Amino acid sequence: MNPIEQVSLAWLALGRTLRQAWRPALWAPWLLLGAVEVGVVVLIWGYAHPAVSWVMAPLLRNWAGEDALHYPNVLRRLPVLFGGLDLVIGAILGSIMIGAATLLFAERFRGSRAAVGETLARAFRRSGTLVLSHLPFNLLLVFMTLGIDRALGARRAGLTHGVLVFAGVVVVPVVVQAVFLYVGPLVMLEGRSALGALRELPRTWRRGMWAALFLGLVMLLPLVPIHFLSGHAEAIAERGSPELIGWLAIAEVAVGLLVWFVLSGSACLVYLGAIAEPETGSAP
Amino acid sequence: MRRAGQLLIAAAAALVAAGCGDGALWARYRAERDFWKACKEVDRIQLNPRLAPDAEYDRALAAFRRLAEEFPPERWAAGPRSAGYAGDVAEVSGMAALALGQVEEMRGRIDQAERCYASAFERYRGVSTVAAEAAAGQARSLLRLGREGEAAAVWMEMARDLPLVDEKRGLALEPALEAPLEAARALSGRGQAAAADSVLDAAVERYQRELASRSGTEAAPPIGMKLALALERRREFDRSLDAWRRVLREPALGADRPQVVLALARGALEAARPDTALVYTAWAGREFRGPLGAEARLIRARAWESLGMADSALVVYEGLVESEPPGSEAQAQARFRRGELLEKIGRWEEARAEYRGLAALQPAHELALAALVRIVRHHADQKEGELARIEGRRALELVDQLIATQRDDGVLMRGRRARADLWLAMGEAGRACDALADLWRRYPEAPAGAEAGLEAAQLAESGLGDRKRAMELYQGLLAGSGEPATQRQAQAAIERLSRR
Repeated sequence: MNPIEQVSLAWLALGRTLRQAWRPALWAPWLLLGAVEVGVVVLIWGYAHPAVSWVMAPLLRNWAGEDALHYPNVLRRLPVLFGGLDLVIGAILGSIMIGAATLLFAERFRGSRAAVGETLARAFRRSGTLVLSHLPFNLLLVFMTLGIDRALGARRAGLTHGVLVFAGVVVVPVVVQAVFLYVGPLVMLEGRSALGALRELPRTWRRGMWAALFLGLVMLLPLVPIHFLSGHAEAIAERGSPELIGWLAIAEVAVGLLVWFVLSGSACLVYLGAIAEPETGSAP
Repeated sequence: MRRAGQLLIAAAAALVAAGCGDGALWARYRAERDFWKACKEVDRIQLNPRLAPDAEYDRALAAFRRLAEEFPPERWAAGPRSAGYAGDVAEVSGMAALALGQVEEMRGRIDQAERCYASAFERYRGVSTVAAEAAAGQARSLLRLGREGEAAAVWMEMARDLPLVDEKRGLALEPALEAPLEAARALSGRGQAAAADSVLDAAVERYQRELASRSGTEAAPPIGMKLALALERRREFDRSLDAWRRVLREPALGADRPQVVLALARGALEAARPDTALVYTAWAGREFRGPLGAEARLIRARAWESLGMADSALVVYEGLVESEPPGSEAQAQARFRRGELLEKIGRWEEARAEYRGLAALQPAHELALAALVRIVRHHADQKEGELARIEGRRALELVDQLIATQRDDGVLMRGRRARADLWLAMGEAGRACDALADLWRRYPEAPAGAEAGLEAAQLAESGLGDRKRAMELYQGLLAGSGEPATQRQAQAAIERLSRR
C-alpha cells in the first residue's frame, strides 16, 4: 500500500472506530485503566484524609519531601507525581488493556461479539508478553522525553528551543508510537511472543507505517491543550484554584482514555485490513 | 480459607472507612486550604485597597474569622496535641486571626485592627510566633491611634512574657526581640528616661542569658545583634562593639555578615573611635562590593571628618563620586556630604557648586531638593536677603520644572515639599503656608501630607496670625486625615483656638 492509500485507510478506520464508541463493552478495558488512574489522582489529591493518610502521607513524604504535605504544594506537584506513576501504570496495566481492547475490536469488526470478562481474562493471561513487548516503546518514550527535557533546560529560548519543543511534543511521541502501534495485534491476534512480535515490527512498518503516523498525529491533537495546561500547574495554582490542577489531571485521564480507545480500535482495523497475513485475520 | 479472606478484606475496608490516619494532618490540610483561599480574597483587595468595595473586605474578614473559629487555639494549641500537625493547625488558625487585624488596617479601621490584634495576642499566647506578631500589631495600631503609653505597655508585656526563640523551628522571634527596644524608644519619647533605661537593662540581661545557651545556633546572630543595639542605646559603646564582634564569630551569621561589619564601623564611630571605624571600613572596602562597599566608604569619610581630617574625607567623597555609577544613591550621598563638609570648613563657593551639581545631575533625588533649600538657607543665615531671594527664585524654577515633567507621585510630593521649604527659607511665610496647604490637599492620606497640613495650620496660627485660616486647616485635618495622632493634635488645636 502506498502512503496515500495507508492514510485513507487510517482515516476510514478512525471513522469506523468512532462509530463503535457507543458500545459499552468496547470501553471495558479503558474504564478499568481509567478507574485505576483516577484512583491514583484521588489518592494523591486527598492524601491528608484519615482514610488514606496512614499510607499516602509517608509515601508522599519519602517521594516528594515534607513540604509536599502542605496545601497547595501537593496539587502543584500533582502533574509530576501522577505523571511518574502513570508511566508505570501505562507500562503494565495499559499494555494489558491494549491487548484486551485489540481482541474486543477485532471480534467486533469481524462481526461477532466477545465476552468482556473472558477477553480481559485472556489479556491478563498474556500479560507478561504484552508488558514485555510494549516495554521498548515505554522505555524509549521515557528516555527520549527526558533527553529533550534536559536539552530544553540548557536552552531557554531561540530557534533551537523551538525545535526541541516541537520534537518533544510532536515528533518523538508520534514516531515512537507509530513504530510500536501494531504490537498489540501481533501479540493478541497473531499469538506471537514478545520477541516474536518485536521481530515482526518491520513487516508492519512496510505495510502500515504511514497509517500509524497519521493516526498518531491526529490522536495527538486532543492531548496538546491538556499537556500545555498541565505544564503550567504553578500558574494555575497561583492565579486560579489549585483544585483545578486535580480536575485537569482527571480530564487528562479521560482524554487519554478516549485517545487510546480510538487508537487501539483504528490500529486493529488497519492491521486487519493491511498488515495481517491472510490466515491470521480478514479485512472486515 | 475463602471466608477468612473475605473477613480480612472487610476488616481492611472498615479500617479505611473509620479513618485510621492522622486526624490532625487532615485538619492542617483543611486549615491551610481555607487560609490560602482567604488570602486570595485579600490579594484581590490589595490590587487597590482604596477602591475595593466593603463587600470584598467583609468577605475576606468572614473567611479568616470562620477559619479561626473552626480551629480554635484552645483545642489545637493545648497540651500534648500542640506538637506536630496539631501545632501547625494552631499556627494557621493564629495567622487567620492576625489577618483579621491586617485586613482592618488595610481598610483604615485602626481601632478595629487593634482589637483584633489584642484578641489574637490573648488567645494565641501558646503559639509564640502568632502571639509575637499579634502583640507587635497591637502596639503598632495603638501608636497609630496616638495611644503611645498603651503601646509602650504592650511592648513591655511582650518583652516580659514572650519567648525570644520559636522552639519549634529554633529561630529567633523578631517581634519579641525588638519589643524591649521599641518599649524603650516609646518611654524615652514620653520623657520617661529612667524607665526606658531599666527596660533596656532588663533586655540586655535577657539577651545575654539567652545567648549563653544558644551560641552556635540559628537564633544566636539575631539575639546578638539586638544585644549590641540595646547596649548602643544605653550608650555603652564598648560593650556594644564587643557584642557586634561576638555576632561576627557566630557560624550561623551567613548573609548578614557585611551588615555586621558595617554596624561595627558605625558603632566605632558612635563610640568616638574613628580610628577603629577606619579599620572596619577598610576591611569592608576590601571584602564587599556594590552598595555595601559604597556605604563603607561613606562611613570612612565620616570617620576622617571625626578625626578633623577634612581633606582625607573630601578625597573619599571624591572617589565615591568618581567610582559610583551616575544617578546612584551613593553618589548623591557623597555629593551632598561633600557639600556640607565644604560649607562647614568655610569653602562656600565650592560647597554651592557641589549642591548645584547634585541638583543638576539628580534633580528628583530628595538630597538634590535638600541641596537647593540648603543654598537659600545659607544666604538667609548669612543675612544676605537679596541673594537668598535670587537663589530661591532660581531653585523654585527648577522645582516647578521638576513638578511639571515628573509623573512619579513620590517625586511630586518631595518637589512640593521642597517648594514650601524654599518659601520658608526665603522668609515668605504666606506663600510657604499656601504651599504646605496645597501639599496637604493633594496627599491627605500620606503621613507627609498630614504633617504639611499641621505645619500650614501652625504657620497660619502663629506665623501669619490668621486665626480663621488656621481653624479651617485644623478642621480639614480633623475631618480628612486618616492618622488618628494628627486628628488628635488638630482637635486639641481647635479647642485651644475656640477658647480664645
